[in-house]
Amino acid sequence: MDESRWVGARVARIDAEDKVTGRLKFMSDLSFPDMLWGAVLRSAYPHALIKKIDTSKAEAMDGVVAVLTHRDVPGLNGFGIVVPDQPVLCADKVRYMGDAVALVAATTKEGAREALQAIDVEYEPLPVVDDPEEAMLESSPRVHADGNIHHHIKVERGDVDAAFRDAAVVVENTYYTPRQMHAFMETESGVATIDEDGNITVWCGSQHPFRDQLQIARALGMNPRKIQVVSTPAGGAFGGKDEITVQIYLALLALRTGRPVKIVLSREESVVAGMKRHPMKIRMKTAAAADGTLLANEVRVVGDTGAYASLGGPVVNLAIEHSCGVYRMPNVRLEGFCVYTNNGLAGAFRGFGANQVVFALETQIDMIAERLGMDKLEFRRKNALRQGDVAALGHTMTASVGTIATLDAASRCEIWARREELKAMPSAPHKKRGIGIATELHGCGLGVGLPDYGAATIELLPGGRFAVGVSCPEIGQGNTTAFAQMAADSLGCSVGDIVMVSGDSRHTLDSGTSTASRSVYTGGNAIRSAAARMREILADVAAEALGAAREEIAFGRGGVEVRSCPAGAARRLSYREIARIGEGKGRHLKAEGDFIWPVADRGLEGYFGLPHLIYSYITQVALVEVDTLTGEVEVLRAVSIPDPGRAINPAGIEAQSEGGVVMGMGYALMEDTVIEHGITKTPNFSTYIIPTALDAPEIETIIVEEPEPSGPFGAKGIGEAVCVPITPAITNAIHDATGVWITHIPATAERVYMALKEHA
Amino acid sequence: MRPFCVTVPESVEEAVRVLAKWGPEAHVIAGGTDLLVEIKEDRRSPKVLVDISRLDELRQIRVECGVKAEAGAETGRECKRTDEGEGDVVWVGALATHAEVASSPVVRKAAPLLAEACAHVGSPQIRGRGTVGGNISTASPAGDVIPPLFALEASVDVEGPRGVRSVDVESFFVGPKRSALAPGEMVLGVRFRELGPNHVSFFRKLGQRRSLAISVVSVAFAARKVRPDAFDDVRIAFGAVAPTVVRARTVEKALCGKRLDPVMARQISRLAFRDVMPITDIRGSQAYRQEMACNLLYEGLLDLLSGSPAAGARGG
Ligand SMILES: Cc1cc2nc3c(=O)[nH]c(=O)nc-3n(C[C@H](O)[C@H](O)[C@H](O)COP(=O)(O)OP(=O)(O)OC[C@H]3O[C@@H](n4cnc5c(N)ncnc54)[C@H](O)[C@@H]3O)c2cc1C
Repeated sequence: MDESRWVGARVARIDAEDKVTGRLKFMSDLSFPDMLWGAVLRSAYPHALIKKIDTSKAEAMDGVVAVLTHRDVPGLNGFGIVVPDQPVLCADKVRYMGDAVALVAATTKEGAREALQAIDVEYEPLPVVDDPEEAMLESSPRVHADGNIHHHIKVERGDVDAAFRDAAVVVENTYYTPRQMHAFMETESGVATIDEDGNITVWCGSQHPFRDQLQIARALGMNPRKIQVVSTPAGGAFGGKDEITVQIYLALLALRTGRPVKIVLSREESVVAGMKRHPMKIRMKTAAAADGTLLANEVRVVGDTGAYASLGGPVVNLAIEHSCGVYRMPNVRLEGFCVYTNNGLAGAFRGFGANQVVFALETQIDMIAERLGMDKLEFRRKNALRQGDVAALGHTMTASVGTIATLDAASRCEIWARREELKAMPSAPHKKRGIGIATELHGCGLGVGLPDYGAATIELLPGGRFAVGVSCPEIGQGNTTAFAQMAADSLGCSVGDIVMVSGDSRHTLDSGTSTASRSVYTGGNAIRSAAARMREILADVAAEALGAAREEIAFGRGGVEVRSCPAGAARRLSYREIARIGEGKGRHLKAEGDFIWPVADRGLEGYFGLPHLIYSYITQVALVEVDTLTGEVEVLRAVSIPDPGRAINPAGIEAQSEGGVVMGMGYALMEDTVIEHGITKTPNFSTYIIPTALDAPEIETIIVEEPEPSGPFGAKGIGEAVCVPITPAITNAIHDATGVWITHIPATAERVYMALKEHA
Repeated sequence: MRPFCVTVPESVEEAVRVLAKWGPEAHVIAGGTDLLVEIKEDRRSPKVLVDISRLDELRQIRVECGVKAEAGAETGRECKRTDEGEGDVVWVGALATHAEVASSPVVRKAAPLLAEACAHVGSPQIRGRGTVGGNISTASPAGDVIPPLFALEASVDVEGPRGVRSVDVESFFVGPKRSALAPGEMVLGVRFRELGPNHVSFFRKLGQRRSLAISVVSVAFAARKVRPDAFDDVRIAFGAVAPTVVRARTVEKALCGKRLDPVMARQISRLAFRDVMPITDIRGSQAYRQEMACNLLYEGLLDLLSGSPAAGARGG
């Protein structure tokens, strides 16, 4: 078995038809009889004490069924993946404009909104903490009682000071990165239903139904088994639905009213209340010897996590882990701070801390190469980690390392190979062209210290198809298609014979999150484990029915056959026939499989999740044209060269790659959630600018495969890496075109123009 | 958002009657691409929407006679050109959509800069619904249809309880989002004289991206080419750099008759500083806008001097 018929093929997404026909529903489109509309009263100030909450007027309104405040939270009034420091409903203090103060359920959407306005909240405004560096000072007002530094990490190896002393080149710069928004299609929305026994089902976009189930249970003070969470393949997430969004509000309102309740956040509410990418200020000092050998990196990262922790600590940890990128860096001093402010909320977002530091590092690398007069690609190749090398954090790179392979492919791609020629042909005399390159490695899975596991179920259905259950939700990235391909090859049937069940805490086993570039690797390994058990069960049934020895049973072509039998003889059973036999015997043909992630040879004391064992690798190249009269940057072409270990579905990798390039391009050139004094100035897509189809460059994806032995069919994760190096590839290309170094993204037309002016 | 009624008048007279009756409580709705956003955001709460989509006569784009025709007059007659500068008058109805204007052979010939501007409003969906009348009635300083109308020295035909009047386009805009429309009045359409055979024109806009971009700065230019490197009858208007769209009269005067090379074009373009007074907002700073007014004009002049046909804006 395991011959790859489906793995490696460009299989059409299994959810494509339901999506294009509209059969697949957004959670905000679900409706149930007798359903109420829920709404959330958000804070009126970025930082204030709550003196009094009076809901009596709202409760008296026609059509209002329930008004809830902190007094109505039966369990723990808090949530948060790492520390539950975010109140479900604020009791005495609000820390950002998105803080929830009260909930309403009413018979109409408008009625719910109006009731919010009738809730009387008395605040005492506090000074706003909006600068992370200032927030770190002892004298700063405190967002949380324990102080504003939520998390601090420090890693030191080698002799950094000596390395700087002896270096031929030292570059030092400060970088600023924006508060990027996930900009998923569907805002945080969903419906909760409740049955007569008090069992609650929450239908809501989610990246980890089982953890949501626990967080809901903790807030409701309820047995988690009475709570089911169902996610959806529509709507998108990108990390923005990793933390709890509206799940607890929905469950509380359903519990109180005994009726189905729906909440749909408006885009403006989503922008204010929802998660973002951590803005970071990064100071980086990097040294190299005259022959181009990198010697040392000193990094200081300050991440603005906003009002609550969520995954801020781990994000800063991963920023530190990725701050030396793919390079051998014998001497490092790396320090990171995750700081509370009243600036919204930051947490998980595709790339998880790498985007910021890789932008800084890859700019530093280009600067050093330029100072030494070395080719930028060769400089990277010279310093890249190889398998067996010791990485910056001190762990050995034991798994496959794909940097060299992706750099080799980059050196051959058209825009790199013909770069001088392409640069010499701008579309107008006042426009300038440049080509940039950048590369990264990206940790897959949760890392050392955070148990990372997967589980899958396989069941032979009466018609001969297999139901394959993996809980990691499909959130648009195409993992269920990859799961189906791996299951088909593991069972010897076709993708059409696989029915995927995912994102549902009742009908699957917990397989963890769809985050951290982990779901294909985890789910795939769990499926292989379950398939091996399933094959034993099938072999049993078939051997008995065919009167053959178990060892004689071979799998393939949608069934089993007896190996020694000449082809064409009648000693073959299709899966449909086996299902019938099983049914006749009253045997339930179902298997479970599981998988535990391998981890790096050493962890980092006190810092959960560091380091990783398995990384995916990627190099990206961009050709840009800069209009020197306006500062506009047009990305003309991009080449994306990921190493996914093994491409389970090349079309799926290309889709990830193209989406990632455009997301990383938006980060480089346009996107920023501007918050001033705690108030969001870009509350919708009229002012929060993301790239459109017309802004997207021509994108070529070249897949390089360095199989990962521990991965299913050699695969590892790719969902995050694809959006990371493209950002510095673009800013490096701007430098190549104009001579200006970009240290503050997004490189909007205005920023580029002003930098050009200063440079001239 | 408060509930509202919608009426669908069958004639301009009926529409005006309803508008007059309800006063400020009634709003005309054409494509709804501006109005519905404002209603949704509670920036406007009309009681009555007057849906003018059935008024087909306001959808027309037509050539009128050599002499400025009476406002609102129906003309199907043959038109013949008199002489240079006395060309035909073109009438674009308020309900003409951006997509219709952009692809109209009449407009593309008579006023390519207007077609160009309409081709770069919003996205295909917005251009399919948004109208010329809606764009000018919104009276945004960033409205893309307006600078070309300034450069064409167009007039706006308006009908109200007291009948029909024609307002020259510069007087129509009194402030940001404020027009000279009196209560009960509505826009019927715009009229302008076609550019002569020796006229050249362009429209350029700078947005934050290539589609669905509100202008950070826009410029419309029309002039008669008297030599390959010199113009007269220069008319230039800038968008998004003052409380209303503005004519750049300093630059116009400086350009008239001057023989241009790139250096001279650059110098004269920089005079646009004098004609604009931008503010800083989320889309751009005052300083940047000011420089961009100059540079967009300069880019356009460079294209004209090099004879490049692509003298328009990017994107769409
Ligand atoms: C996503 C998006 C992108 C956009 N991009 C651009 C852009 O790039 N450039 C740009 O200039 N604009 C843009 N707009 C704004 C808008 O689309 C245009 O201004 C459009 O021309 C408005 O026309 P409408 O028919 O939709 O107006 P409506 O929304 O129907 O009306 C707008 C206003 O004008 C009034 N009105 C409409 N018709 C008349 C009339 N005949 N007489 C009197 N009053 C009238 C209405 O009462 C209302 O106050 C954009 C809008 C959106 C939503």
